[in-house]
Amino acid sequence: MIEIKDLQVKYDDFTAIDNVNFEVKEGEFFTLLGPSGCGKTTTLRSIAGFIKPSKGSIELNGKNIIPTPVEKRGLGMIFQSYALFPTMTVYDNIAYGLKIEKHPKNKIHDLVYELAQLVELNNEQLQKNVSDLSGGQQQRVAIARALAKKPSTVLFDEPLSNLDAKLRKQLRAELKRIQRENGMTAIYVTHDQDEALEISDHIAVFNNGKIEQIGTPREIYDRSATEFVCNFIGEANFLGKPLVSYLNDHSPARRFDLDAQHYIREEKIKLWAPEGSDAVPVKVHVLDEVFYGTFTTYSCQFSDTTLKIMVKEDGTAAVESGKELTVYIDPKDILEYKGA
Amino acid sequence: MSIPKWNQFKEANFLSRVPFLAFCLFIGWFIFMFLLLPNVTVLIDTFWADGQLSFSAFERLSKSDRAIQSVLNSFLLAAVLTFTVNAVGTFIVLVTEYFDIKGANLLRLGFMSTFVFSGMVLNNGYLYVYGDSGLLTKLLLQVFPNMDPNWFTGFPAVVFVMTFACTTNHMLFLRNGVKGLDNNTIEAAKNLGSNQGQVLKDVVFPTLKPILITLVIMTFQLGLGAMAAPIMVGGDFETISPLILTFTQRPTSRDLAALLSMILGIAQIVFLVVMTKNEKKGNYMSISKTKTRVTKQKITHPVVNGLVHAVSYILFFIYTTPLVLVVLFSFMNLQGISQSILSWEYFTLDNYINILADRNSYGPLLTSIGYSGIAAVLAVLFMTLVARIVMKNRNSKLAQTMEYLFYIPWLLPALMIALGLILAYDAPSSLLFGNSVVGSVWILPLTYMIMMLPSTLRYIKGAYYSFDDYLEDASRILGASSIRTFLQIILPALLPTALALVALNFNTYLADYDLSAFLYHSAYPTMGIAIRSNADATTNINAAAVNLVYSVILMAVSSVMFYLIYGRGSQAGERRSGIKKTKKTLKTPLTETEMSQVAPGKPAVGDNG
Repeated sequence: MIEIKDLQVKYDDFTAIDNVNFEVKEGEFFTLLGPSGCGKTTTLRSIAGFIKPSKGSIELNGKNIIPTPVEKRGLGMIFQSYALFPTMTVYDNIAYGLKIEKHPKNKIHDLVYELAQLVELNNEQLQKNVSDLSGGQQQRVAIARALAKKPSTVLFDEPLSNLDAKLRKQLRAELKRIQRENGMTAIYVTHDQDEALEISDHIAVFNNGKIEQIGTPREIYDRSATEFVCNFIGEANFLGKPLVSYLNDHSPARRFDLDAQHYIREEKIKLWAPEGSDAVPVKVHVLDEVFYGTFTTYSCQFSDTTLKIMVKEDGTAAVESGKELTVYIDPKDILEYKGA
Repeated sequence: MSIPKWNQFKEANFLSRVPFLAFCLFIGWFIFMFLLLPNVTVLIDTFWADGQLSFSAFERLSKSDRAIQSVLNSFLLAAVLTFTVNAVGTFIVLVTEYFDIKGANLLRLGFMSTFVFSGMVLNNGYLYVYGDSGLLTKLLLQVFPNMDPNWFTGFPAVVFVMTFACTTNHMLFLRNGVKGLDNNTIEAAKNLGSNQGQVLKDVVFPTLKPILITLVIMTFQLGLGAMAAPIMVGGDFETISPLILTFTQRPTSRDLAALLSMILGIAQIVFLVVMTKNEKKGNYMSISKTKTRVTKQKITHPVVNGLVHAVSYILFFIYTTPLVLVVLFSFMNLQGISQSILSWEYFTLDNYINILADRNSYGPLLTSIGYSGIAAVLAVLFMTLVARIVMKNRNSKLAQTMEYLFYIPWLLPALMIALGLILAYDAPSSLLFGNSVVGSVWILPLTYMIMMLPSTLRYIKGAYYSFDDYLEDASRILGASSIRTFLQIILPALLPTALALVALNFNTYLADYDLSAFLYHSAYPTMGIAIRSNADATTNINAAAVNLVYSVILMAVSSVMFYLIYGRGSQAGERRSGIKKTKKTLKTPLTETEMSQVAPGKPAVGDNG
């Protein structure tokens, strides 16, 4: 188990991360998510030992590892740039850590081939120089190399960001499979919210060097704790005051504070009222539509609020641009943030 | 008694740092002994006499007509060369890279011959064509029997030799600039109604302006510090550098030598400041979204086209004739050489066999290879370690100061540094553990090494910058210690740059004359010295044959080195080195200031003049 307590990293007057606290259980896939410069990579590199925190502790199975040098921490790491050693073959890259541990040659050989199989690299590829492989293959080498020493925890620093969308999706699923099969703990850094939602057991959302929320993907999405998290994860409609007042006037179930900020996810706005719900009918004017294949989004206007509505393309929707439309908003789906 | 754990840790930590601390002490000693003290000694010799501040050197200099004349001559030479070299240099770049000239590849090869045909070798080659017993002179004497066979001497001869010898920087940097032009801008200008002349004036030259200004400054520097050409063909036309050498050899005139070298030093610093300012103004980078390569421009005016072709080929013959004749005559027997006759009848390999079989004849070759080889390897090894310290302590003022001190040889002319070493260590010094540098065998490789340090440090530092830091992180997290990471990951990645630097450094000093003239050991003359003494009019025809063979061997070695540095040999290494392609490597264009420091034609040493 990894426990981060009150972690702070400062560079002169600049505080990169502050008061960072979280806990990663054994075998868990934990993701640090946030925009560029939010402190997620700083946190990961502090765990790896490349950055010395100015305050706080990093405990691995109850032992503070901050004084432990990088090479003694026993963690695996996969880098954004893969960081494969260009002067070595694929085989030598994977075997590097094992050679340092002075394993017998035949054991190294067996382990390398076993890992190659795990990440789906063939014998021919093992003998190649790493510069002769494609981006996806290079990433597989990086994974095999990081797993070679069988670390209990592997750190992933945006490992898929250099790949194209299709390959990224494919490798994402493979990473999850390898992590589960090996029972290892994974700490994963990404700025891609879809990736985080798909792959993680728990997510910590970072902003300005601090954690805004920690939770399961569902908690983070459905019950975003802060306005930042609500906006960063998924698509959310901001509700203007006239619309919030209208909902207050027509909903006996919930009253909203007009000084707060209100949002609703685009797929939560319905074209019909679900049975037994307290959904409020709202008449909107359809401005525009964008077809995405499996769904269509409609831009609709209510007073000063532009609502985006996501509708599944199952052939039942009959919406036309430029016409009036009644949509249904369930007050329980509205996210309210006070004191923003 | 058992030592507490913490003490054990501290003790082990200290012990592991002993080699590092010893190396830091060595760096401090080296900087003081070889970079600071010699130059301070020059200052002291100039301004300090009889225990007090003195300006007597200025008075003596102002009263020496010879010295004043040499200073004036140097400035005159520099000013004239600024025009001639840049005119020829710009012309040859345009006809090989910009205009569509027939046989451009052949022309380019000829114009690039100064890369390997340089320094004393080049001057000797020009003498072989234009000198008193030169081929052209003999031809002219047949037509004009009364003409002076020593016609190729003095100021015009120096200007002629240096004009064609000093265009190396143009072929290196201006050529890169022309190749980097955005063809779309040329097409746009044409589309808007510009003719070829207007395109050159309004688009091409303004884009190349920063490089051209730097080249003008560099040419001025080359002229000011000229040494080989004035010695070989100058006759009575004396310039500063040879005079410094003469004054240095007279103990009573060393203060004058120091003062003259300071004048060169101040000029060099001023040029560097101007160049840095020019660099800060920035280059004109293409802002096109899709930059296209320049397509060769056909000269549309038939008369101009014919004229440009004619001038191009005349220049080609001027560039290549001495080189070709040197190569061909190196295979002629003494009769052929003395009568300047090229014939199968006189063909022989004896010149090569004689030299390669005789210890006295191949001695200078071995000395030069040994000196520049040792200096090149040591400079690269030393700077690899120094650069590592600098990079690991990027925010440390001490490390920054150390780095700047290693750049001192950039600021000062080589002659001043050589003179400083002579003045500081002409007697046994306790700082050198009772040894004297002057007159020793190792003073010359040491000075070569000192001169190599700045550019080596700069390039190695560039390679460290370009090195993907994540490779180091990856190695550490896989369990490797710092030393293992350095040896197994960082060093192999730096190797292509390091080897290229060894080759570049080696090449720069292989045919050195300037420093050798000051510091060579009489028992071990270098190639530069040997060629110079063999070129003397009073020496026999055998010496001429020796010079021809020396020249060919030096050119062959230089060609191999250039192939290794810039040719195919370096490409595979770079691809697999872990050096990011976007960062600076030996093949990426340099800033203008850097150009002046690492150019083969750097004025202080290895210059063509």
